[in-house]
Parts: sequence; C-alpha cells; structure tokens
Amino acid sequence: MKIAGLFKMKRRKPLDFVLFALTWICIGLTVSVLALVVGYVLINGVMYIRPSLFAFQYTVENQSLFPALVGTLMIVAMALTLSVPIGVFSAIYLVEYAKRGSRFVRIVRVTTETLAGIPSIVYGLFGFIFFGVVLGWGLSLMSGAFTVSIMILPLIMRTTEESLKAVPDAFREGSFGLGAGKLRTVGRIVLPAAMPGILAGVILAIGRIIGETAAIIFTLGNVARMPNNLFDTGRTLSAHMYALANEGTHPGEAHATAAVLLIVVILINALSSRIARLIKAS
Amino acid sequence: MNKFSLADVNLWYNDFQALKNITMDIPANMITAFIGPSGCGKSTLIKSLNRMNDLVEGCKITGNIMLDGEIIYGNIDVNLLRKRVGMVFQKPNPFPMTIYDNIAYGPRTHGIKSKFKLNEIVEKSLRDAAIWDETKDRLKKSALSLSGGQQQRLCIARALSVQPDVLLMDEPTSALDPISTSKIEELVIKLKKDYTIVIVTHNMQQAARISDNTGFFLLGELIEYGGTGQIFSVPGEKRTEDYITGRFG
Amino acid sequence: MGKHSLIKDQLTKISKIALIIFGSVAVIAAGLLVLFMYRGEEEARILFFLFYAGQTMYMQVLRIVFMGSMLPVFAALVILSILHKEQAAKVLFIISACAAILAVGLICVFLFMQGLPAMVEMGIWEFLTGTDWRPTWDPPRFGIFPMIVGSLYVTAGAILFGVPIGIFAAVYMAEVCPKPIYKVLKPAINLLAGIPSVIYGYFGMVVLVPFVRENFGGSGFSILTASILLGMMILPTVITISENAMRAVPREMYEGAVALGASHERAVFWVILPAAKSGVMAAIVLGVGRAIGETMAVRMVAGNQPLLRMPYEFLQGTRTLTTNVVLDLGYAYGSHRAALIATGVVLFVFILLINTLFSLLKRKGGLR
Repeated sequence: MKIAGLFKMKRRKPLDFVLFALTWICIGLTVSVLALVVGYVLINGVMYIRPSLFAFQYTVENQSLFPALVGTLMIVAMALTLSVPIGVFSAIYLVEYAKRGSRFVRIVRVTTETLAGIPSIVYGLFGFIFFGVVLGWGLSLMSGAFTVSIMILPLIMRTTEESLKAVPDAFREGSFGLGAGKLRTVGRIVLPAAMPGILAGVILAIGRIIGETAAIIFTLGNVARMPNNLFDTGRTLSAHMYALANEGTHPGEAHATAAVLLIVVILINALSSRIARLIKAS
Repeated sequence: MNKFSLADVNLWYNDFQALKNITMDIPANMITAFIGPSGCGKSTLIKSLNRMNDLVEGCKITGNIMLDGEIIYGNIDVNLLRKRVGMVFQKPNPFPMTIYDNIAYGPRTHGIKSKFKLNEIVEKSLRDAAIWDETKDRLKKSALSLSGGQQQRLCIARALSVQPDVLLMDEPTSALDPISTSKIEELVIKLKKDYTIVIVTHNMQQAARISDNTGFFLLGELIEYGGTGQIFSVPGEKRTEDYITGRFG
Repeated sequence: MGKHSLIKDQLTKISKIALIIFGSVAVIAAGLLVLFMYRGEEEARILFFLFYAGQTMYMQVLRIVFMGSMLPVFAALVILSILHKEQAAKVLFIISACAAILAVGLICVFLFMQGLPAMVEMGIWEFLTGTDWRPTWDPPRFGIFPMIVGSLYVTAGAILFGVPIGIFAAVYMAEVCPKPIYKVLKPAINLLAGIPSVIYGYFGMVVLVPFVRENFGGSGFSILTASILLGMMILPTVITISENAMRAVPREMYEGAVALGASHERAVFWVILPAAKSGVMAAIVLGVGRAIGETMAVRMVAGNQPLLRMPYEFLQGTRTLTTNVVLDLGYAYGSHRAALIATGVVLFVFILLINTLFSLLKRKGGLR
C-alpha cells in the first residue's frame, strides 16, 4: 500500500475505478450485515432481559434460560476435559516427536482436515447412532459431550500445533543443552511458551460449543431442566434458543435469549482475539 | 591431559558431508578456538561434542569421539553427557521465565529440589558468570528484561549451574556489541581455570586474544591445528595464512 | 550402574511380563464379550462401565476374567510409566494422535454401516432419484431427490449472493484497507464467523422472512430467503480465505506490474487476483461446503416442504438434505430412521468430495 501511494499520480481507467468502488461497497455490505444482525438482536433483545429469565426453575411462563446455561457449562466443561488433553497431546506428537512428513503425520493431517469439514448435523447423526444407540447412552450429557469433543478436536489440534511451531528452537536447544530430556523440555519450556496460543484456541473451541445446535439436540437432547447426572438429558443455550424460536409462543423471551447468547459469543470472541493480539505483541 | 580425543570423525547431513576425517585432541583447562569461513563445519563439530547434532534429522556420524577416554557416541546417557558438556549458543536464548528459574532449571532437571541448595547454586553460577551484581536484586524478574550482553552471561551462568567439565561456546559474541563482547572474553579467560572451553568464533582477533590452541577449518576439513601463537604468526599452510590475513572468508 | 538401576530393571521386567500375560487375557475376554454383544446379548453393552450379572454363565465368567485382568494390566502400566517416563509419554502422545484417525474411522463405519444397507434395500437409484418423501404412507416412500435439488438451490443462491461480495470485500481487506481500519474490520469479520447459526436462523426468521414476504410475495419461507441468509453466513469464510490467498501472492508480481506502469487498481485486479485464483477457488469451495452443511439456519427459514421445486419457484419453500435429517430424526424409527441416516450418508459423501477438492485447491494456491 505504501508503494501504491507513490503511483497515485497515474491516470485511473474508468473500469478500474468502478471495480475499486465495488470493493468499498462490498466491505460496506459485509459490515452492515454484521451491524444488522448484531444490532437487531441486541436492540430488540436487551429490553426483554429480566430477572425471571434467569430463574432457577424453568416454567412455561418464565421460559428461564438458567437450566440451559447450566447445561451449556457442563457440556463445555466435559467436552474440554475430553478434547483438550487429546488435542494438545496429539499436536505435541506431530510437532515435537514425529518425523516431518512421515506417512503417519500425513494420515493424521488428512483425517483432521476431514473432521474439520464435517457439518454439525453429520456429527449429530453420528453421535446419535454411536453414543446414543450403539453404546446405549441415549440422549445425555455424555453423548453430547463426546460428540462435541470430536467436533472441536481439529480446532484444538491446529491451534496447538501452530503455537508449538511458533516457539523458537533456541528454547529447545537451551534445554537439551543442559541435559534435560525431551519430556521435560516439552513440558517445562515449550508448552508454557505456547500456552497463550493454546488458550486462544481453547476459547475459540468454547465459542464453537456454545454456538452448536444441530449436533447437540440429537445427542444431549433438548429438555429444559437441570441434568441430574452425566447420563441425564438437558439442553444448551443454543438449543434453548432454537426451541424458543420454533415454538414462537414467547417472542419476548426468544428475543432476550438471542441477545444473551449473542453477548456470550461476542465476549468469547473478544477474549480470544485479545489473547491472539497479546501473542503477536510479545 | 586431553579432555576430548577425536579420531577420523566424519559427519553427514543426509547426502552432504559436513565433516571429513577430523582427528584432533582437545586439552583440558585450556581454551581451544575453532576458526574458518561460514559453512566450514566448525559449528557442526562443536555440536557433535555434546551430541546436539542428534536433534537434526538425517544426521549421521562415524569415527570416534572420546571424553575422558569414554566413547560418547556409544551406549551412554546423552542427558548426562550434556550435563558434563555445557553449551552456550550463538544468540542468547534465556527461557521465558524469571532469572532465578533460568538458572535453577538445570539443577532441577538433574534432581536437586532443596530450596537452600538451589539458592546456593543460583548465586554461585551468577557470580561465576560475573553477572551477580547486576541481577541479585531482580532474580524474580523475567530474564527477557535483561540486555543482550547480560542475557548471554546469564546463559553462561545457566550452563555453569549444572557443574559441567566442558563449556562449548558457539560464536557466543556474534550477536553482541563490543563492550559486552569484551566482558564475555574476560569471563571466558577467568573460567579457563575450572573448565575446558571450546569456542567457535568468526572473529580472528578474538581467537588470537583468548585462545591457547586454534584449529582452522575449511570445507569440513581440519586444515591446521596448533598453538594459537604459532598459527597466527607462522601458519604452516598457505590456506591458513590466506584466511588469517583476510584474503578470503 | 548402581543398586537403584538393578531394582528398576527387575521391576521393568516383571511389569512387562504381567502386561503381556494379563493384557492378552483381557483382550481375548473383551473380544469374546463384543462377539456376544453382536449375538444379541444386550447387557454386554455396559461391559466397560459396570459389573452386570449377565444372563448366561459364559458371560459372567468372561466379565469377571476381563475385569480381573484389567487391574494387573493397569498396575503394570502405571509402574512402567513411572519407571520409563520418556517412553510412556511418547506412547501417550502417539495414542492421542490416533484419536483423530479413530474418530474419522468410527464416523465412516457407523454412518455407512447404518445407512448403506437401508439404501440398498430401498434401491440406491430409487432413493437418490425418487421424488416422493412419504414416511407415513404404507408402504412408506423415501426419495430424496427433492432434497438434493433443494440443497443445490440454496447453495447456488448462497454463492450468488455471498461470493461476489466476499471476493470484493477480500480485495478491500488485502489491498485497499488502511491499517487502522483493518484492525477494526478483521475482528468484525471473525465475529461474523463466530455468530451461532441459530442466531442467524432467528434473525432470518424475524427479519428476512417478513422482508421477502412483503417485497416479493409468498410466505417468505423460501429458497430465496435461505439463499440470502446462507450468502450472509458464508461471507466470512470467503473473505478470510480469499484474503489469505491474495496475501500469499509474491509481492514481486505486484511490484513488477506497477513498475511497468500499471496503476495500483490495475495491478490488483489484473495481476494479484488472477494469481490468487486457486486460493479464491478454494475459498468458494469451502463456502459451498459450509452452505451445504448448514442446518439450523436453513431449517428456520426455508419452509421445509419435501417437494421438487423448479428454479423459477424460488419464492416457494424447499427442504435440504441437512434439514431433512434434523426435522425427523427426533421421532423416526425403523425404516424411516434408516432413510434419514442414508440421507446423512449422501450429505457426508458430498462433503467428502468438496473437502478433497478444497485441499487440492488449497495446496495449489499455496495456502496454509
């Protein structure tokens, strides 16, 4: 762009000018899409947010989102417990242990890319068949968490891989040079240095889980109550939102729930990009 | 007395032969300098003295390297070897943690847990590396807050913390300003009393100033090796003379 | 070699022997139990979680053998991993790295296992080209051709709306945008990608549907509405990947063009954009993948009638492959459920093809 400035004197051809104007228009459209969705949902939703929406017990009258909030937290916690160690460990293997470009690494790469591309309804279908029917867990926190944890696995793996690769080799050399083994080098030097990047990935994954609906309603179910145990059904905030929107009987509560969900997502996004920016700065 | 004895050492990175038939003895409690133009194999050789080359994929080595009469490419614990043969790198590479933790990392790796003992080691290492006075009030601060020269002396202290016999230094001053460089040179001469030091350097004046013995490398071969005074005043080989007098390299 | 390492060697040896003996017993027992499970012994399903008094003596014995041998196996593993931390950690990391492979394997096996037989039974051709979706008829009719066509309509519509805007916006992001504005726009586009599909769906329902109804007629729940909404949803995908593709074009190409007297605009549109062609194609393909796979938002605005539509009926409702699954899976059973799983299989195959195309283009475009 700096170079462009030097050539500003050159005569503009009309077609080029039109094309350039189009880029402005299109970015404007993109921003207005965002503004429209966020603005509409927030402005119409915020005024309907009232204490009864957060009542401990869900009733037909209050349409409380509290049980869904609890369900969301539980699914997030369980899915992260399953997925973060596995994702981080496999990224460690790929970056620190495996030979570059070996057959195994290539297979893992291809399968991870495949996992990342599978739509959530297919995950829902698979979770329904495998965890729900074959393993007999039915609609439950367990089925939901396992399904979602497979869904976020590629995201965690990729972000961890990238942050591990970004750790300078000089740190590794320094540690090996002192006679530290591989495990100690990875555990005490490389992982702590990569931690902010991994954290940003985990937060993105949390956002994915919170926003997920299709994979949730056929594995966790969509019942508005507190789950009693790990094999009990429940709902998440997005599933709650989906139910409210489809029933259409409580438009006010639906507006409010959408606003709450959107606020949560915006906060998580902000947090993630803030961490990403911190990494870039350091 | 010889610390290292090398016999017929050949080293390949995949198909590229980086070292050719190196045979040399490195005496104890002296400073041995490796000089030569870039890509001559001097860094490769120093890295094979503590088996850091093991980390490079496709690296293959033949011949014999002995440390105190023990073959180091045999069935030995590499981590213990690296504890005995410490290393200081081209660019200062303190870990992203506090100054204290940087120094304590080595002893902790080798099983020292007592807080008292660690404090002692940290102080001694920092004193030996002549950086104690500058850091004693800020041990809990990040090591990355130090200047480049201080960081490099911190890395020397870190290498000393595991009480090695040998200190390998791979162009330790190439990234530093002249003042920091002279501080490190002084330090190296002081350390000679207790450690065997092998230093790779690009800077011929540096080799002449601090080393007892000098080896000149070219294209993976050891061209000439002998007392520093002799190499710099009456080199036996034309190529050594050309390099030292700056005709190439 | 001290006394300590002698003890260590002995312990290692004993643990290894224990691991081999009890491990093979446990594997055999588990294998037999799984065999029983497939012979219809329902209770074997919870074998990994609970002691359960099975109905046959064999199963009870097997279960006790399995559980009994798991304990020494576990103990041996713990001892070995304490003694050999480095190797144990490496094994743990390798096993974790296999998780992704296992997951893809399980998804393929179970989807195809449950979906393909049903498809074959219904007749693959009839299933794919049948135009009637009548699960409640006797005998039921399962033809998903309307849904395939529906998916194609909304995806094509999404491309129509999303891709041109996305590419021009990407040009703006990569080549026009001043840095301070970029710092605001980039997170905004990331947020656009992060908004959950239910929110988009809800927005479509309360804003786009009435808008289409009032301005174009019909009920508003239509192919057009779904296309507009999907076009909005694929915007961040198209923008981000096209932008990266344009940034991956070597700077020398731009400088060369400018040095020859091209204006900035001309260099961008006639040199950089064509050079980033593969990457931009990859962006479009990934956008197509997103659009075909999107479920909830489409479900909320597309009307969902399982009827074969003609292109000019874009103000009528349609049903896509994804929504077909999501609408009925909750209550379907028997052949109806099998037909839904088969629908999922068709969708999965579509997605696999698109993903393969995407990674080919991505590699060609030099994208990471």
